[in-house]
This record gives sequence, C-alpha cells and structure tokens, in this order.
Amino acid sequence: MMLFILKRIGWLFVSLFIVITICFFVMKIVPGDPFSSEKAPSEEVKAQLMKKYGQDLSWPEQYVRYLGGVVVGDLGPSIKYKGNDVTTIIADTLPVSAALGLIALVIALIFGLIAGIVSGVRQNTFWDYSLMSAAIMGISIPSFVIAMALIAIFVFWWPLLPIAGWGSISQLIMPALALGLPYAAYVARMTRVGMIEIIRQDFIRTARAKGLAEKSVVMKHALKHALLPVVSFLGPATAGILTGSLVVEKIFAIPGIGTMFVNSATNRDYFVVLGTLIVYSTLLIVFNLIVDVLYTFLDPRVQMEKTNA
Amino acid sequence: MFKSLQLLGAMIIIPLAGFFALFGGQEEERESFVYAEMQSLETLDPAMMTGVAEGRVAQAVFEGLTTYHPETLAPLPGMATSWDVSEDELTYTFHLRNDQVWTCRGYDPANGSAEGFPAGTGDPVVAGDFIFALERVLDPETASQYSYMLYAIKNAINYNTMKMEIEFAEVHRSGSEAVISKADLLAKFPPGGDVDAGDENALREFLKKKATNLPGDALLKADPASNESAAEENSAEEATAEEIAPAAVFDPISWDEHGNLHIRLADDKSLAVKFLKLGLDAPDDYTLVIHLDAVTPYFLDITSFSTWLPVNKKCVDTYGDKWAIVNNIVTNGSYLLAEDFFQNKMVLKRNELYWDKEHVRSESIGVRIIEGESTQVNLYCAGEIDWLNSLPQAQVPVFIAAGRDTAYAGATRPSKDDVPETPEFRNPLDPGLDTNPNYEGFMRTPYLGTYYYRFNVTRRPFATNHENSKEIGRLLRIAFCHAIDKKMLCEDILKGGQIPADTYVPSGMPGYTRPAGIGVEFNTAKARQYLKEARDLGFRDDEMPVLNILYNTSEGHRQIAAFIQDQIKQNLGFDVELQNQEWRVYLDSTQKLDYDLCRAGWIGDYTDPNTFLDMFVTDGGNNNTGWSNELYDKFILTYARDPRRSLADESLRAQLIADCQSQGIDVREIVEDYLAQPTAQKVAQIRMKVFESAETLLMHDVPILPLYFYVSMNTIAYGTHGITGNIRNIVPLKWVWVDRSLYP
Repeated sequence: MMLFILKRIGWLFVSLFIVITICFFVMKIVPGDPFSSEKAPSEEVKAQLMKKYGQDLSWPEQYVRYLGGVVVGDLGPSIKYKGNDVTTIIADTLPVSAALGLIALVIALIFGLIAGIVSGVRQNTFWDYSLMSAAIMGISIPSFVIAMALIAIFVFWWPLLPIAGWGSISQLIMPALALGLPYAAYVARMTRVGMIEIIRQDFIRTARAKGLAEKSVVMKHALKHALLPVVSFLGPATAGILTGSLVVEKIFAIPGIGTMFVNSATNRDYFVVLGTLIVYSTLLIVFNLIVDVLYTFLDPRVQMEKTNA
Repeated sequence: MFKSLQLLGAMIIIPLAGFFALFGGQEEERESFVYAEMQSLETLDPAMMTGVAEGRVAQAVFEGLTTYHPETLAPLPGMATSWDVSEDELTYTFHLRNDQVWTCRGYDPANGSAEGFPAGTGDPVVAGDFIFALERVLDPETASQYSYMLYAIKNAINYNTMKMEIEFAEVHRSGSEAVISKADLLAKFPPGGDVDAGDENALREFLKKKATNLPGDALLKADPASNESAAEENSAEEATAEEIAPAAVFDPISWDEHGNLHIRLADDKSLAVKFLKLGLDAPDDYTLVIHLDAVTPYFLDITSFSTWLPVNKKCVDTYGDKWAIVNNIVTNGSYLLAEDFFQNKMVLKRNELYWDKEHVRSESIGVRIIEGESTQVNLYCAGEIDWLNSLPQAQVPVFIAAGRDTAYAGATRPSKDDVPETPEFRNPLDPGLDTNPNYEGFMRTPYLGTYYYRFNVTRRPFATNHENSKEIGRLLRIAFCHAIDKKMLCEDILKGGQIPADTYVPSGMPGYTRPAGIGVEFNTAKARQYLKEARDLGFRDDEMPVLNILYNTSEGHRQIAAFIQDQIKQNLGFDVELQNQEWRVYLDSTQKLDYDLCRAGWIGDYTDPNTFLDMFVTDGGNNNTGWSNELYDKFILTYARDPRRSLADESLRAQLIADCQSQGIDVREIVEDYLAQPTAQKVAQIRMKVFESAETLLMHDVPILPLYFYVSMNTIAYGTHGITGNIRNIVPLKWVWVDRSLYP
C-alpha cells in the first residue's frame, strides 16, 4: 500500500514536470506578450520590462530558471499585478474557490445521493421519473442559467439572499447551488444505475431473505457497492470543483482562482498561468490517488499491491 | 460497519465545520460610497500604473502638486498651494504646503510615534519627495510605461531612454572604453557645482551611483571603500557585498595622465544618461522648481496625472517592489488604503491627517471588483453599489428609456418625488463646484475618445505603391471613408448616444475648433466619385483583394465590423471578411501591420489635441498604420511642440505660415498680431491653428477611418455628489459622497 502511494507520488512529479514543460513552451509560442497595450510602451521601456521579468533571455534559459524557481517553491512574480507573487495570488484565491467548491461538493453529494438512492430503489415509479427528469435538466442546463434563475428567484422575486459578493455565508448559498447542482445530477444518475445493478445481485437477495429490514439492506449492503462509480467520478470532479468555475465566479463576483486562471491567460501573465496549472494538475493527480486508495476500502476485490505486481 | 456512510458523513461534515469556523457569520458593513471596477487594480505604485481604475484610487490615496477640478478638470491646489510660471513659460515654481505628513492606515500621531508603522510614516511631505518620485518614473530601470507623461521636464526624454550620445557627443569610444576629455568633464561638472569634476573621488562616486552600463554593476555599488553612501542606501546590495570576495571588486573608472576620464563599459552600447540633470530643483523643502524642455500649454493639466504623484523614498527603499501593498504603503492623499482583498474589494478610509479633510465627505469608500458587467448592474439595482462607470451594451437602451430620474430605482433607493431637494454643496476652495448638479440615474456625456479604423497604408490596395499612380491608395481610402453611414451606426447599432465622427480629434476638445469642411462625412456619391477617380488613374477592380477587417474579440466590435462590411459591400461593391483575434494577438498583429483594416480606439491622456494628433507622426509608437508624412511631422514635432521658437526664428516662421496656408489655414494675421504684442494667449492660438492644419492634412490623407466619438455613461445613485461626467470622465474621489440623509 505504502509502496503504491509512494510510487504514485513519484509519478506526480513526473507528470508535473511534463505539464510545466509543455505549457511553458506553448505559452511562449502563442503570439502576443504581457507588455503590449493599446498605448504601446516605447522600445526602451519595453526592453527594460522584458529584462525585469527575465523575458529577454532565450527560451531554454527562461525555462531552466523557471524550473529552478519551482523546485524551491518560487513560482515567480505576476507581471500584471505588480508587487504580487504568484504564490500569494494563489494563496489569496485558491482558498476562496476551494471553500466554495467544498460546499458545492457537499450539496452535490447530499442531493445526488438521496435522489440516486430513492430512484434506484423505487425504479420506474413516480419518484424515479421526476427525480431523473430533474437530473437530466441539471446535466443539460449550464450553470450560468441556473445562476441567473437563482438570482431572479432569490434576489428580485423573493429578496432573501445577497446578489453577489464574498465574505458572508449568505453570499455563498447561490453560487454553491449553481456550482453543485450539475454535479448533483451526475451523482444522482450514477448512484441510481449502481443501485439498480446491485439491488438485483444475489447477496442482496440473501440479505432480504434472511429478514433484514429494507432500510438496512439498502444503506448497509447495497449503497457501499453502488457508490463505486460515484467515487471514481468524484476524483476528477473534486479537483475541478475546488479550482473554481469561471462562469459562476464571474456571475457572483467571487474572488476565486477560476477567474484568475482565465484572465492570466488572456493577459499573458506567464507565471500566473503556469502557477495555476501546477495547482490544478497537482489537485487532479492527488484526488485521483485518493480515489484509488478509497477503492480498497469500498471494494475488497481491489488490492493495491497486486495491481502493482 | 456502515463504513461507507461514516466516510460520507465525514466528507460532508468536516468541510462544513471548517467553513463555518472560518467565516463565522460575519456580515459586511457597507462603506459610505461604493463603486465597482472590472478587475483588481494592477498596482498602486504611481510609476507602474497604466489603467484608469488604478489612477482613480491612486489620486485618492496620493495627492500630487495639483488635483483635478471634478467638473472642469482645471488644476486645483493639491500639495502645491500656489504656483508661478516664468515669463517664457519654461519654468514652473510650485509652493508646497507645509502641513501634510506621510501617513498610513492606523497611524495617529496623538497615540505616539510612528514606530511600528511602515517606514516613512509621519514624515512631512516635501519637495524632495516629488523629485524622488519623478526621477524614479524616469529611471530606465523602473520601466514605467507612462514615463512619457513626464517628457515635458527638461532632459527627461534622454534620461528615460538612455540616449547618452545626444548630450555627451564628446564621448570618444575606443573598444569597450568610453573616454571623456577633461575639458568636457569640466564643462559638464563645473567646479563648485554639486559634483565637481576636479574632485576625483566625488566624481567617481557620482558616476558609480548614476551611470549604468558599467561592468559588474553590483560589484561596484558594493565596493564599501569608495562608495559607503550607496551601500548605506541599499542594504540588499550590502548583503551582496559580503558574498563577493574583495579581490573581485575592480574599478572601471580611471583617469589618465592628461586628466581624461576612462570608463570601461559592460557592452558596446552607449553609456547611460544619468549624468544629465533633470529639470527638477528644490531650493528648499517647500519649493519645487520644474524646468521644461519646451513650452507645454497643458503642463498644469498633466501635473494632476497619476504618474506625477509623489512617493515616499524611505518606504520605497525599505520594501522594494512590494512597497505599494496594503501592509507597507505610505501615502499623503485624502484617503488611506485600509484593506485590500485581492480580486474582491478594496476599502479606503478618510485620511484624518489630510490637510483638507473637512471637504472629504465620505468616511469610507468601497471599491468592489465585479468582473461581470451584468453582475454590476444587478448590484446597482439592489442598491449595493452607488456608481456604475460602464454598462453592458444590451442594457444601454433600457437605461436610456428609463430616463435620468427613475433609472433602476431599486428597492432601497428613494425616487426623487419622495425626498426634499438635496442641500447645496459649498466648496469654499472653489465656488464653481456648487454648480455640480446632483445627478441621479443614467447620465451620458461626451468623452474625449475616438473609435476609428486604421488603414494599412503599407499594403495594397491602400498603399501608395501602385505602379500607375501614388494617388490610388489615398483615393480608395477616402472612398471607403465616405461610404460608411456613421449616423446609422450610432443610432441603430450602438444606441448609446455616441457622436458620429467625420474627423479625428473629438468634438468636445476645449479651445480647439475643427476646420470646416475637412470631414469625411457619409456621402455615397462622393465615395463613388473617388472610386471612379482611382479607376481613371489605373486602378482595376479585380486587383481589389477580399479585404479583411481585424478586430479584437468582443461582441461590440463584431457588430460594428459587420456593419462596416455591409456598408462597403452596399456602397462600393467590395467584399470584406471579418477576422477576430484575442486581445494580445490583435495588438501583436496591429503593431506588425498584419491587417488590411483594423479597429482602434484612442482616449486622450490630457485635454489637448496633441494627445490625439502626435500619435500619427512617422514611426509613432501608436501610429500602427505605416503612414508617414514629412509635413505632418513638422506640424507636430516642430511647430506645435515649440511654437515660441518656431515664431522667433524668421525662416521657421515663414515656413509655418506657408505650411498652414498649404492646408487652407490662414495664420498670417495672428502671427503679425503676436509679433506686435507677444502674449502667451496668442502663442496658444497659433498652436491650435497648427493642430488644425495638421488635422486637415490627416483627413486629406486619411490613414484612418473615424467612426464615432465616445460618450461616457455613468449610472449614479440618488444623492451622489461629485460625479459630473466631465470630458475625460475623471472622478476625483475626494469630492464624491452620497447624501444618505435622503434615504429612508
């Protein structure tokens, strides 16, 4: 087990290295530079700016220098937000997106699991049809439409929640719902499919035959197995949801890393782009690792040591 | 047992608990005045900022020599209580107030010393702070993008661009060594001056401090024996000194037996200019004298600009690149930076140590960072923000229809009928401010900006290199200009009250009258006439490529481009393709002249035609059309830049009259008037005539296709004072406040 985790962590660094390398050179190949503006700076000023941010060196030199910085935890300065380091920017914005993402994830799990279990157990009933219709809608309606609908309802029609912003719990409810509901829909559908499959298995029949209460059969025996596809979905989904969503952050004016990432790319703020990519890749890889580890608890058939053999 | 459920429960409860622990139900208190910006401010360092949003906050937390009048933008006393202008208008003497200190959040001298506050707190604001700030902007190493706003100062351009050769023509080069003769040295640094060429040590020290492009810069500065003061000034470099073995310290500055100075250079480029004395002097702590290179009529306008703000040397030296962040910043303006949440919000608090604090009516100002334009509108409607400085295009007609008094009066906003008239706002400093109308709702006013298309004059068909006639490119450009119905564009597409533009300099420019008849108005008959003339000269329709219109990706620009495409097809019969590029790529393409037609916009930096016209000089940094005209360059760079000198020199004066005449502008009478009785006012008039001639020439050659003049759109909460919709839509936050007593 430990060996497996260590090996995966080793691969984490290899993957990060590859991500940085590809992205570094892609960023350089893309036309445009961070110092251009509608009021063009003079040649001299531009040359000084290039020098200041090390952009006057050759690409390989810049690359080596950047990698050297990353190794010691220095992700470089932001070219746009002068005086800010990429690490402080990430430290400012990532917790915001992560906090929002966690709440959204909780919403996704609560709504998704309940809906999935109910419709799985009560297959082809009124409950199944209505919940699954809702899930289909949740998957197909983009989150910005959900966000707009929430604003229309809870701000203008029934003034209950603040319209946008960040800082209080009430400001969190709508963005978390807008972000979490589409995920809830996925979770619901997966749970339902898992449930339907598991509930027809022999060991469930055995459980029922030996006289267990239906509640116990579902929650104790069936759910654990039905959750397997959900868990593997949650790995990448968690990484995605924690690193924020451009659309939801924009609509609700949330100072998260999602907007930062997109803006830094359009601004050619090279170091910020690379920094956020490193964060995103790390989260993605780590959560996939966590999912794999969780599998051993949920499914005794999976054994890490053997998969490595 | 129930392992999966426990796990699930933990996954839900732990983050929730953590979250509530972090945010424990804190509700925000609203600031006295709240407005929104689209993106976090790039920086509050006046030398480094480029944006309008940054300038707005910087001018609230810092105060320059002069400040903008909120309505007319005329210079109001700021750190300078008064100023004198010399007769030749080349020397400005500012008398500074002696009652303002540098301060920061939380600092109150009543509670004891400035210890524990950022470096510089509590110091008086003196002339030296301005000199430090301005030198810093012009220091090439600072790489300030707006340094050109200081180019009026004597020697500033050379100082900033390191053009050493100009002033030090006497520098002889031999290999990697520059040699300056003793005579030149003495001329440059006369005995008895600040730096005496006779005093080798003083000169050596000065050179090490001021010159760049010396080899091993850090080594030199770190040489403790010969440069103690430099080491003291910069402790970071002192650290480097310790790391370097003494043997590595060498001296590239030496004298030969004839007293000539030899300087070893790091590379074969020139020696930097920092020898040059900038035209800045501080005879005492509260007097600042600024010498100009040439008469600059708009000089007192630009001294209010953010690049001119003073900064505190101790603070900058102590914190380096990070001096302008909330924990370190030391300021002198009407507001203090109290809090700064990246990408979220900035809070300004009234500076209780500000000299004019009784006129600062808002206790606090909230700057919220709201990236979505619709979100901004929503927040305005909900009464959470008091001022919107832009609107999504789709909303403009809605706001116009709603009118001024009732526009989006949200639940928390009283309508004008519900409340008594607002009390008058008296400003003893300038009674003119009384007239600030107490606007409410949506307000459109002319704005000093032009939206136009550039023609690429280096590429067929608009180029002048047609084998049959040089005129063909120009005729085609004029034909295109006449073929666009700008009125329809403004009324049916933009719908925001934009003003159709037939010329380039915006119509609201004070003191400038556009010459009659120079415009390229919409006229299909003329358009076809010019096209026919081009054909007569040998242009064949089949050489017209499918033109492409380049614009940066945006729905607004796309709509305009599609309209132009349609108009060209309809009125001239040519096919045009649209091409959009992401912002930075578009900038790259326009600078490389990789387009046929491209969109552009220009916003004036100051209230003078020069800010619009000087960009089209040959190889101007923002020209981007490839257009070049000798006469135009002469108008802008000779006559308009230094009208007094042009008038003083007899042959130049004759040329000026003839050149203006060639553009149909008659200046003989004013010039004669001026010669009889020279006044600054007449110089200014002649200068404006020169600009008129220049624009006439520009519109004759039309390297650009003007489309419309911008309008500013402010949406203002009821009871808000100080937002006047002036020509540059500058909102000096000092004067802004919301009369909350009007609210229920």
